[in-house]
Amino acid sequence: MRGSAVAIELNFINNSNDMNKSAIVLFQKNLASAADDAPIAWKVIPDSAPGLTHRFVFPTTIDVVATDAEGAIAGPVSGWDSHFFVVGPQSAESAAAFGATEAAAGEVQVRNALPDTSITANIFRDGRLLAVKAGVPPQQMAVFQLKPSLWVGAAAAVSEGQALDPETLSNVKTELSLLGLASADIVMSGGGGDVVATPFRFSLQNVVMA
Amino acid sequence: MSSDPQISRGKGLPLLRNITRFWTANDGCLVFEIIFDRAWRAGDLDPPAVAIVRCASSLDERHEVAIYEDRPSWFAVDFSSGYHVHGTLRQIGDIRIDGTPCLTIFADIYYRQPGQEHLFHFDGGMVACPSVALTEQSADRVRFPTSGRSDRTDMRHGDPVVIAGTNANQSYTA
Repeated sequence: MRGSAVAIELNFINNSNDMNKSAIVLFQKNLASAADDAPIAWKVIPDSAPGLTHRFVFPTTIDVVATDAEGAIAGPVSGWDSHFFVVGPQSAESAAAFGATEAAAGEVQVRNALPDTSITANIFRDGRLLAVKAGVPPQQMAVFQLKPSLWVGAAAAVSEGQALDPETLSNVKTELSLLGLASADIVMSGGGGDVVATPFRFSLQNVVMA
Repeated sequence: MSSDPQISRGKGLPLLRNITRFWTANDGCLVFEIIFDRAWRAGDLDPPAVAIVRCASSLDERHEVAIYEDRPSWFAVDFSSGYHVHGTLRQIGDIRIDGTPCLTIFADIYYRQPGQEHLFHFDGGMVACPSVALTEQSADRVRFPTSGRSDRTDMRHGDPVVIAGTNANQSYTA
């Protein structure tokens, strides 16, 4: 029933023994990205102490914004993960306009139809930056393939909208699938002191299916 | 499950082609080939789905896991390439994805790359297959109350929820 905007309700619960109040980072990977395109920290829960709960939503819609070196030139335009966005000339005077149609299943495609301006394609979810493809030349297309899952892990210092560095990425080892979910708890466990410390573990609990 | 993907075993059910979905991790190195058994929907007693767990670098090594609805199937595999994977698989029926009721395989698995110590964890829906795709050509078959899908999966309530951008016919990679 594509076309009705819904959101998956998620509730982060810190049941760990982590005394360092680590930040928790959540992000999606663009499977169509080049190896040097780092994932973006979509959501960060700072100072996550044991006992903390934090509710947030994962909307099924995305927003696309095209920018050039000067800033925003088009958008935001809302759509679904399977939409094809075109950034093209609107008139002789104005810079650009968006159009959106269905794209290949599971892919967001942003085509730069501007005659002589390279763009950066920015994908937002729930108002936060999710993925970026910079330097899309005229008549070329940025492709985003976003699996319905969230990677989650603890991080030392990370900000929302920031590209994740290799060290942070190497510490994130859990992928939680959102396929078919209406709501769920993301429960963090593990951690602890030096002697009895165990790795952090993230799991889905209290899952309500669609 | 019949070794011939087009023919269901034993019940005289004609030409029920099974449906296959793929899930991969580590840029395609670890492969789960999920085969949904159409004959099961028509009353066949074989497992509703089977996972063939493979490693791209060890193509001759295959580990088969029968997947059921009433219990998780636990498995552990060590490939000669050094890949390791263990965890559980389970089927849940008629979950709405993009408004379409789907049979969905849920996984809670841990996998390790060769030469690495840490385990990656995947939790949740792995692949889905529209239920209607499994019942086509078999709608005229007799269903037996004690076989096929469990009653539990027919008792779901609530409004359908759409996950935009997911496609029940799509394979996913990690």
